[in-house]
Amino acid sequence: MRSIRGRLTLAYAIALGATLLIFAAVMLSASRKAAQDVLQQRVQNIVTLGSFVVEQSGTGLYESVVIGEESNRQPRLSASVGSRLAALPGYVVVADSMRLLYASHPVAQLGARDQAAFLQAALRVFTPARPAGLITMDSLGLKLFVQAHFERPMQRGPSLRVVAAVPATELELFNLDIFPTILVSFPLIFFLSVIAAWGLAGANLEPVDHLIADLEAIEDGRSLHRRLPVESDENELDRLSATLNAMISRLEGSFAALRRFTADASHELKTPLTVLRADIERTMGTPGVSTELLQPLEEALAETARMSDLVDSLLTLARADEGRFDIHREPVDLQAMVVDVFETATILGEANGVTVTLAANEPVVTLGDRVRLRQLFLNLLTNALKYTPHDGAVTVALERRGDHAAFAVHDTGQGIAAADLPFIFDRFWRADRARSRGSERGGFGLGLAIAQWIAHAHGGSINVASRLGRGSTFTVSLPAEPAPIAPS
Amino acid sequence: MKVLVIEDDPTVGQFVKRGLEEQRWSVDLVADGEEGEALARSQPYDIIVLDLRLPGRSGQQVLRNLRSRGFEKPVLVLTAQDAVDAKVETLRAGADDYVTKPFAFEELLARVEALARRPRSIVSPRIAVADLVVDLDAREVSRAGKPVELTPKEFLVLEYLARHAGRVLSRTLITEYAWGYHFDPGTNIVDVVINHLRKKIDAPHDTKLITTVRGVGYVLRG
Repeated sequence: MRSIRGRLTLAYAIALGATLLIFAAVMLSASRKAAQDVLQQRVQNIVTLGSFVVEQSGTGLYESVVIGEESNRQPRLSASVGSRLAALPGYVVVADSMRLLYASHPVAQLGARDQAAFLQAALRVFTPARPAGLITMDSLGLKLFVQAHFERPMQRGPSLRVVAAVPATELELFNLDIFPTILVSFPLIFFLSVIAAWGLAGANLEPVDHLIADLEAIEDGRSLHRRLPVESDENELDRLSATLNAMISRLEGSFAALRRFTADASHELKTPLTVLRADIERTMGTPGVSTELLQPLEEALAETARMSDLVDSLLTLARADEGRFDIHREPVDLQAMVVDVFETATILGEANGVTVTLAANEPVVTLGDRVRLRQLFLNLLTNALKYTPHDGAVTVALERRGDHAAFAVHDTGQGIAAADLPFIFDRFWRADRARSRGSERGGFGLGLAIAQWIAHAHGGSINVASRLGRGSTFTVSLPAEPAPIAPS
Repeated sequence: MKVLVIEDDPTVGQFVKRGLEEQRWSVDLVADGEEGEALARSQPYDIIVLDLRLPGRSGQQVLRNLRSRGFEKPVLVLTAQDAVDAKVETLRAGADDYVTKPFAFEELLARVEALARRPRSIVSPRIAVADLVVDLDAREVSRAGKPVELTPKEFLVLEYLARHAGRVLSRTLITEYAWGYHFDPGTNIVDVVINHLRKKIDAPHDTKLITTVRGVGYVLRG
């Protein structure tokens, strides 16, 4: 859940879930309290009745039985009192401070251990200070709600206690009245609310999606005249749109300035170069010109040519920054072009002591600018040869891969460090000046940037795979024209 | 054959004029757009070389005016725009081809001759230097009657040397002629090709035709 919509829904679900849980807890607790009150009332009634019976009996409470010695006189509850007590429901016990006087039928029915535990609890645990509570009966698998009552029916007689208990099943969570309602309705409420929250978050974020789509449409220098729609200035998103519009305006201004600069620079830089070049060529062509004069002229010519290249490259990249990729397109036979550039690569390889092989050259035609595509291929080849040491090898291959042409240049040079890979297509970037041949002048570091622009301008791409010390493979992928149907 | 050059910069104008005249073209040079347009309509030129940035009336305006009045002769445009823009814009304005500034004269000449449909060499498609014969049409080379097999680049370098036999041609000029104008090989690629040519053309014979001019380039001399 990375989207704002997802996170909003999740936060809402957590908040709602917590609220429902707390609410359920409060409801259940209140319901339990009510059930307990009912239970307490019931048991209280039994105890009151029991006490009443005991109280009414007065001196007829005991029936004296003499067994043997006087001292062994065992007071027993009289039968009439016992029968009246037996009419009381539930677990009823009557005892004086010494012994148990009466236990109702359900008490007698209890298992030996439970009975002992019940009597123990009834006679010892519940005191005048703590007359009521719950005890667990293992054999019954339930809790009993117990209420004790203490009184002294005779002036000087022993203190009596009347204890009554009823099963406390109504206090169990699952037996509470409200529990089924909560069990069914709360998950349903939760589920429906989360769905509603998801929908609501989506509806509220929809303008953001529109904003994103509108912004994505403004992708390069040519679409900068577009603006985002602003309906009012009250909505946060409209304010954001207005801010973005202001930014786009400034960008548009910058791009316009860049375009003007590009046009002016083209003229202002190229005109003097043209004059310079014309002068140099004219002087070189003068009949009888001396070698002493030709040497500096050749140097000047070479520098002029380099400078022209640089200006052309910079202007090309300035256009690329603007996102203008309008190029002249005509069918270009890449196979023939590879034959041509391969010869150049072989010659360059011979000069550098590098073996150049043509691994594959399949017939592929692409729509593009012949001059630029040739420049792209040659840039990659000269680059590969520049970084391949003596006795190394460079392999060139042109293959048709589905609806694409793949031009690959593999070298056994020193490769490119993984950390450098993201930067090799940056302008003026060079891995390490020491790595290029020391004796020669390196390029401007624009070759790969230009190569990438050319590939992109043709709707293609350029990729590099490289391992330090093993070499690199540059692959250009260009959209290919459909293959001609082979004659059967 | 007649060519009209409309170019406001005197150095560039003279350079083009003199270069074309050396190739036996009859050249009129004007520096003003309006004047050039009038001249183009009144005189029977085979081709017009037109600078796009002119004082007074711009080259583009001149071009549009000429085309709208039914001028059908080829027009080669000189532009300081970069190659990509130039192609799109000039072809839209009605030009037949373009050369971007700064240009090498050989490049301009090649375009002019291609547009005017003039054979590359009006005198003869065969150039002979001593007993070396370079056939430009068939792209064949022979020395002392024996055919010599050359690769495409070797042929281009030899062709350029043969066209200007006796003249010292610098490495930069040779590179530009054989490899085009936006190629910086970073190494002396010409020397390798000259080595090949020497092995194929000079090695079997006593008379060496290719001479090295230190620090400059090469010359083919009979």
